[in-house]
Amino acid sequence: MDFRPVAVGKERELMFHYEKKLQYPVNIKTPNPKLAQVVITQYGGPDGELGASLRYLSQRYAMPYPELKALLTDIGVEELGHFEMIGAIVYQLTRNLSVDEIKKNGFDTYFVDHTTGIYAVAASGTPYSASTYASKGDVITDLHEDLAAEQKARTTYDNILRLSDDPDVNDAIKFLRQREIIHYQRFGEGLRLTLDKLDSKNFYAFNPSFDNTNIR
Amino acid sequence: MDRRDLLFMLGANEFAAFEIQLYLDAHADDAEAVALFNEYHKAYENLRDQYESLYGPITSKSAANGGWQWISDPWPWERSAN
Repeated sequence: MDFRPVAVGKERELMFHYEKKLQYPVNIKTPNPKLAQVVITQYGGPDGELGASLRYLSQRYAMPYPELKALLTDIGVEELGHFEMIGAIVYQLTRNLSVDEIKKNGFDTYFVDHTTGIYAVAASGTPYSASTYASKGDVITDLHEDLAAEQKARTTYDNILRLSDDPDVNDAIKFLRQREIIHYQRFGEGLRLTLDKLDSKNFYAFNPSFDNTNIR
Repeated sequence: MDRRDLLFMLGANEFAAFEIQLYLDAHADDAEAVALFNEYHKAYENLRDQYESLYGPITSKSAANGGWQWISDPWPWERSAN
C-alpha cells in the first residue's frame, strides 16, 4: 500500500489514496503466534508505526516552514504503509492455528479478546494510546521528539530481530528498520534547516510555531 | 517477468521516487533530483499500468475497466498477493 499525496496532481485529487499493495512484500510461510505477540508491538505499541504516523501527521500543523510540513506529511503517510505491513505480518503469523498451539504459546490472552483479529496493542497487551507521543507545538521540540521516536523504533526492530529466527519475518523487519534510520536522517536535516533559519545567538528567542503566526 | 517480479519492480521504482521525494522536501531547488524523481515516477507508472492490465487494478482509478475488480482477492496482507 502506498498512501501518497500526489505531487503531480493531474490524475488524482490531493487527499489520501490507497494503493492496493504493500510497500515491501510480506510472505510468511510458518505461522508463529508467539512471535506475533512480539511483532504486534510495532502495530499498537509505544514506539510502533501507528504512533509514528499519528505523531507526524499531528505535528505537521504546527510546522512553520513548508519543507517541514511536507516532510512530516510524507513520512507520516509512509508510516501508515508500515502500519499495514506489521498488520500483514501479524495476520500471516496467526493463520491456521489450532487451539492447542494458541494455548501452548501464550497467545490465549490475546485470542480471548480478539480471536485472530488485528487490534492495536503493545506486546504487553496495553492498548494503543496517544500518550505515547507528543505534539508540543514547538518546532525545535517536535523535531527532537521525532529524532528520538525513530531511534526508539529502530531499537524495537533490533529487539524483534534478536527474538525472531524466521527469515521471512526478518526480511520485512529489516526493511522497516532501515526506514527508521533514513527517517532519522531526514528529521536531522529538518532540524538543521530550522536552526539555520533562526538566530544562532538565541535559538529559543521565540517559538516559530506560535509567535508571529497570526497571518496564517 | 512473472507477476511477483513485476510487482516488485513497480514497487522498487515507486520506492526510489518516494525516497527522492523525501529528499526534495528539504532540498526543493535540486533540479537534478526533480528530474530523477520524474524518471523513477514515470517508470513506476509504466510498470504499474502493465501490472494492472495483466493482473487487475491496484488503484481505484483503474478499477472501473470492465466490472468493479477493485474488490477482487487477494488483498495485500494475504500471502498470495506478495
